Amino acid sequence: MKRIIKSMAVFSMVLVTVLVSLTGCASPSKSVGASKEKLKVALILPGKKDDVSFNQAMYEGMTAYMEEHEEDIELKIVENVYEVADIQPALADFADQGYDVVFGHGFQFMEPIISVSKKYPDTCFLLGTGYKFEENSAIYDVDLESGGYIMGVIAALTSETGKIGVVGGADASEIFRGHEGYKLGAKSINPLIEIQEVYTGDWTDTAGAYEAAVGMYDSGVDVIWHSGDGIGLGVVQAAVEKDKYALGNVEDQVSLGEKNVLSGLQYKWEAVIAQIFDDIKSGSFKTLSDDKRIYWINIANDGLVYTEINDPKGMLKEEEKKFIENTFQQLKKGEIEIPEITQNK
Amino acid sequence: METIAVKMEKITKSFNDVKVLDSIEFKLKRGSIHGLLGENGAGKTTLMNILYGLYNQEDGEIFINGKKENISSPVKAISLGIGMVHQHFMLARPFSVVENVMLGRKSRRGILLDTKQTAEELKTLAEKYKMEIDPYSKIWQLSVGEQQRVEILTAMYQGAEILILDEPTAVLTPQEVDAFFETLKEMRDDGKSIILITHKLEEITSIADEVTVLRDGKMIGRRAVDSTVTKDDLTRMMVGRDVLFDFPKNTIEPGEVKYSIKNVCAKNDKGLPALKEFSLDIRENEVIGVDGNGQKELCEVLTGLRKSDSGEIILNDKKMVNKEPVYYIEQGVSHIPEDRHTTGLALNWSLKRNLILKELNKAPFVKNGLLQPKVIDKYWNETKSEYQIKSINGEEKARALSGGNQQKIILAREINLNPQVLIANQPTRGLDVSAAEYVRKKVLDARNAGTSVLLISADLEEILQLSDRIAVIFDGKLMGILPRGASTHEIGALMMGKKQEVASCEN
Amino acid sequence: MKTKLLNSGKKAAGAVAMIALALIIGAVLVLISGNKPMEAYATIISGAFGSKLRLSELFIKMIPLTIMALGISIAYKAQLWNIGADGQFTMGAIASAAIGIYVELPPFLIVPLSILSAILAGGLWAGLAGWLKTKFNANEVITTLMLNYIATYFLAFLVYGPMMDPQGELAQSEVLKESLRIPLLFSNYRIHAGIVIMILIILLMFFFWKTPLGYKTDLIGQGEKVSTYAGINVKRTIIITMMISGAFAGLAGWNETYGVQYRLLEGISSGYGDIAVVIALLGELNPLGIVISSFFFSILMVGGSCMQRMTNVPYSIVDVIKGLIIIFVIARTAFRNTAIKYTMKEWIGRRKNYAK
Repeated sequence: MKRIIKSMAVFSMVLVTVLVSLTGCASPSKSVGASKEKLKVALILPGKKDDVSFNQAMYEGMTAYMEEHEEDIELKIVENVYEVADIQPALADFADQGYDVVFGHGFQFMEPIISVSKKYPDTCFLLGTGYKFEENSAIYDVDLESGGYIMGVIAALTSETGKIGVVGGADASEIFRGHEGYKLGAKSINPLIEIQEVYTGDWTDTAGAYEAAVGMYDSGVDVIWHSGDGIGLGVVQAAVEKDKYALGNVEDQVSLGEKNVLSGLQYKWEAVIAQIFDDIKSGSFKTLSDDKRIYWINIANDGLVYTEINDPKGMLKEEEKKFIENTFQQLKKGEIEIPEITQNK
Repeated sequence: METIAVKMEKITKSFNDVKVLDSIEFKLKRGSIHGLLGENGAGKTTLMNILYGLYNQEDGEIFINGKKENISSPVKAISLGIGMVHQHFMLARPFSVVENVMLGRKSRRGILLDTKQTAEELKTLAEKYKMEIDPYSKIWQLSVGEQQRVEILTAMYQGAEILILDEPTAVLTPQEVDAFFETLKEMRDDGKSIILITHKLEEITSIADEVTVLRDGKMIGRRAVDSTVTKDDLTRMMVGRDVLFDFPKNTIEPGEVKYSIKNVCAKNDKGLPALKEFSLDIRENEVIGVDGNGQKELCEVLTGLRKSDSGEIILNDKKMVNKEPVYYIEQGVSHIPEDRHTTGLALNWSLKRNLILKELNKAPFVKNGLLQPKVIDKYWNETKSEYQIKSINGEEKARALSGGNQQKIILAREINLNPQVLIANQPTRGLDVSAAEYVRKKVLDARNAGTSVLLISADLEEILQLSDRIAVIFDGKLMGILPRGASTHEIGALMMGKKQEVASCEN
Repeated sequence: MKTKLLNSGKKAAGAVAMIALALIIGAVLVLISGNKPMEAYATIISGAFGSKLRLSELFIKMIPLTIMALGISIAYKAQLWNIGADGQFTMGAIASAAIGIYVELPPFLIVPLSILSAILAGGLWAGLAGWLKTKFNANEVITTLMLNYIATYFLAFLVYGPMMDPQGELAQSEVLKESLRIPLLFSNYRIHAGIVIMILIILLMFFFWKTPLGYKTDLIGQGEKVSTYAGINVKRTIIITMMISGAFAGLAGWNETYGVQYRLLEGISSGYGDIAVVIALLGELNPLGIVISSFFFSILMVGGSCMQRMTNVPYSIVDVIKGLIIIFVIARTAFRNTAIKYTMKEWIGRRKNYAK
């Protein structure tokens, strides 16, 4: 018994010592300091960098930017930080290790970034989609209404049955706006078109998306657009099996179904990454006004493009393809007015 | 040819600085059965483990067939023609007999198994030594006696000329023992040399040609077994003093009825009636011996371990029937269970804890919700010296003790509870002579102190020795009660079911 | 006393040997994956001790792991193979979060109420498996595992449904009021006063095995027959033991909810339950052994995440090391059986002999 008490005592002493050592004043993160020092940047991805979707788009955007800035930026990329319990420690550890910029690529990083950014005011945090920010944090997001609009135009022009579909993950704001843009675009071609819409409620619900898509195709729908990730995989799988068309999202997804992926939206995050780094380097990042704290990618700033039409079934005529390109250019120049969409939630 | 198969000279071995073998001399004649006699803990098994290469001696030499050998491992021992059958068998239970024999052996058919051939050879070998065995039955389907045969056959198949058997009869029924001895004689006549480790005198006198006696790691003597050898001689060599086989007659006469069983019916584990309208009164200062079928169920009903279907159990005017076991303990019913290993002791617990097994939440061992090591230590030390328990400090696991010492722990625990009633089920089974004597004496002491004792034993002699009255059960019914001094003949007659007095249960 | 020390020394040496072997095999795998083992392990160490933040994270992991492993050790001593600590943790988290979010009372009442509810929820969840065992002889390995799934999906239902934060879109509840949270020890780090509770529980465990209840639990593990014989109500003790075991996990769930996450969210148990089982077994069910094992695994987990961030070595290496230790623990248990030892010796003996 004495031995046990003794060892317990020793253990608690060690514990206390360790804890006391924590009290020493919180050492300030390594300052950005001399401009010659490289900017230390961390990108935390929730999934794998080659997921043909959300993660890959950001990975490619970041590496594209890096190619021109290797001298002044040191980049660390971490994959698969998905578990809630891992997110906050990962963010905090990078900040604690003196990183200057930390990207949390996903909506689930929002709350952790809010709480960590308060403790590390010298570090800049970037959140991939969301709506909350602090003085030293900002958001980059996709303006999906214009993208949805062009997808709607393609779908409506392609459809021979007059029925098209759209499958989304969670009913989150950006997806909602994308869906509304899609409907507007489609109706601009055919006001009487029938549009079937499903939200599976979950980004990773491949099976649910597959079933929804199969149901749509069976009811006569011949083109479906989707909102990416696991949802996209399910929809494309259904398209391949039913030999119908799907429209991709986020990444160029033709590789997923060469005969059945007609086209799709591709996100080009590099369109805002440069702007973000310019603001950080110039020191204006922390004084941005609230409306500037969301960096949008859209068609106008080349952040959204549609991938080359891949139409092995020959359902689109040449002039229709020209019309699509024309519409895209008009969207780019702001010549097509899309009414403001608000989600009443 | 050399007539001495094994010669061991000045063998010495210690465990943790305790000398367990001190300069032992051992000689085995070819073609003979040699008894190795001694009480538990005398060092018999250790000596043979050295011969089999499981242990290495610190000092001394071993000669096999006159040639000095260094037996460093069982591999070496087997190659010298030595086989050993341990008390605990080493068979792979899901495998068949022949597969077990073939385990680890190179097949004669290359990558294919030579099962059929081996099975045939095995059968011939078994027939030769009168051991009936089906080579294709799985081990788990075999009785313990049959498993033992497989062990022996395996050793013989490997070419053993010298066979060591460690307490082989401990697991056999009396009928099996007879057949087994026939096999041994067959082997001896075939020129094999056999070492029989035992603590049972009858086995020596009935089968051994020679005997070597060990006591406390020392060699006491070696002699030929002939008509001049008596049980008393051997006992004296083994124990070092005379042992009482007859106890002085009880001077205190039985008193009032204390524990009373009325018309109890109970079923056995298979759901068949085991006790039928069973009634029995046990008085103060009385040992009542019980013999016959249904003993186990009777014992369990009387200690709350088995529910009865009907009837009454009354202790000092208190109704006891179908209460929780703890109630029986609290009311002073002590119990020496039949199975020391699964019921009487927690084998992985220390001796101390086993000693207070039934008082884990009682003062003085528990105070303020915590066990009191000092009080327990004190109690342990008193008990240890009173009951002469062999132990280093009471912290070793019960598993490590010999059967006699294990039984002493149980005995001490149950008797120190100052019981009203003591249910003793096979209290001396598997114990050596002096331990059994001790247990019997303690049971009688308890009786003389006022306890009512119900004694169940397969050993008829023991029942006759200790009991004031003898109750005989047949087919779950009480056949009759005989007074002290009844003959085995009378008991036998009742056990055959000659007398039927009691009606059978409904259902 | 001397033999006791010697024994625990032997056991500790065995555990250290197992860990060493697992680390060596892990190193080989790192090498095969084209990385430097020493660098990987150095990153694990610096990832766990390299900064105050990392130390703080280390202890944050250690608190729930230790509490759960201690609870598991109680059930295992009684040979009740509770592998449902994750579910019991989850139920504790749900109950305490519900109290914190929905009950309108002053904090000094809410906090004890939430602790109590967590203990009760975890205890009942495990007690249910115990009851099923005594009533229907249902194997507790299966039932506790199944109850894990039920708890996980119940949690998912709540955080996607009735308890979902009305302010947000993620699968999580709203945040607990600041006045309810376990106070932080240092403003910049997440380490909180829950560590005091962990230390209290460790101390409590040393005493638990000296109480009649501790002995009873232990005796159940020695066999049903001997327990019944000793006058113990085996069925009741099985249920009580399971409940105590689950109560520990429930408390850990409260600790995670009120000390770390400040809300209920999907996957809150983070698989702690599985690791806690390994910790309990590696620690030989001994409180001190468990504390040390838990410390070791916390290093592995916190350092392992850091290793994944800072080098190219995947976190899976940590899972491999964990898996190897499980295998070694099982193998050790099997080899302790002397009958097996002897049989092996004999078989090896025969093989060599026949080979001649």
